[in-house]
Amino acid sequence: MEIFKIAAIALITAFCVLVLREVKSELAPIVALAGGVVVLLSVINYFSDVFSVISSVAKKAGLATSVVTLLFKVIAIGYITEFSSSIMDDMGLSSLSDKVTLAGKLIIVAVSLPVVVQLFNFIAGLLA
Amino acid sequence: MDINIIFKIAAVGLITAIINQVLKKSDKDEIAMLVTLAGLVTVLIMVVNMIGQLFDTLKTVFGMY
Repeated sequence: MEIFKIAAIALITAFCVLVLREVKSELAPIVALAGGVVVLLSVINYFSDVFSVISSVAKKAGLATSVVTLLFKVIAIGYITEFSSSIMDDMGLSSLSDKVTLAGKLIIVAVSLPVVVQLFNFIAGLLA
Repeated sequence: MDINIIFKIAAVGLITAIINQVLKKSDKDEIAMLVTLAGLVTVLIMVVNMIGQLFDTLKTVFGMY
């Protein structure tokens, strides 16, 4: 199954990183990054299947498509932020990874503001 | 596609490290530095292409922009 291939790739990447750390080469974290990208690329098409199912269910439930696309966008931003901040943690630059995480949070809040405003107007409409 | 990229990068790292040691022993430190830089640049180009491909797939999958 797919998971064996991914486990094998991850193990091989880990060994390569250890070997490179042994000879004190600067490429060790870069090999770790490349391994992460390869593992991600092999499972990326599961994402699209899951998301097409979610969007069809949301359409049936009558949700506005803008909300669903916003949800996907927030998931994507969150994932990319986590991806890069964990790589920087690997390399030991925890301050940089905290800054990337903060930036990711700010972008997510900025992107999801219109829906929050929409929610408030909706509630105000109910109360009035 | 996937596994030989990791081997390629690991091989470049290993070779540059070994050449570095050899050059340092024959006290040609500046050439050793150049070799390290050359290895780093080639690997970075490969990895940047991979990350670009990853972000493009993410964009199409999530339907962003």
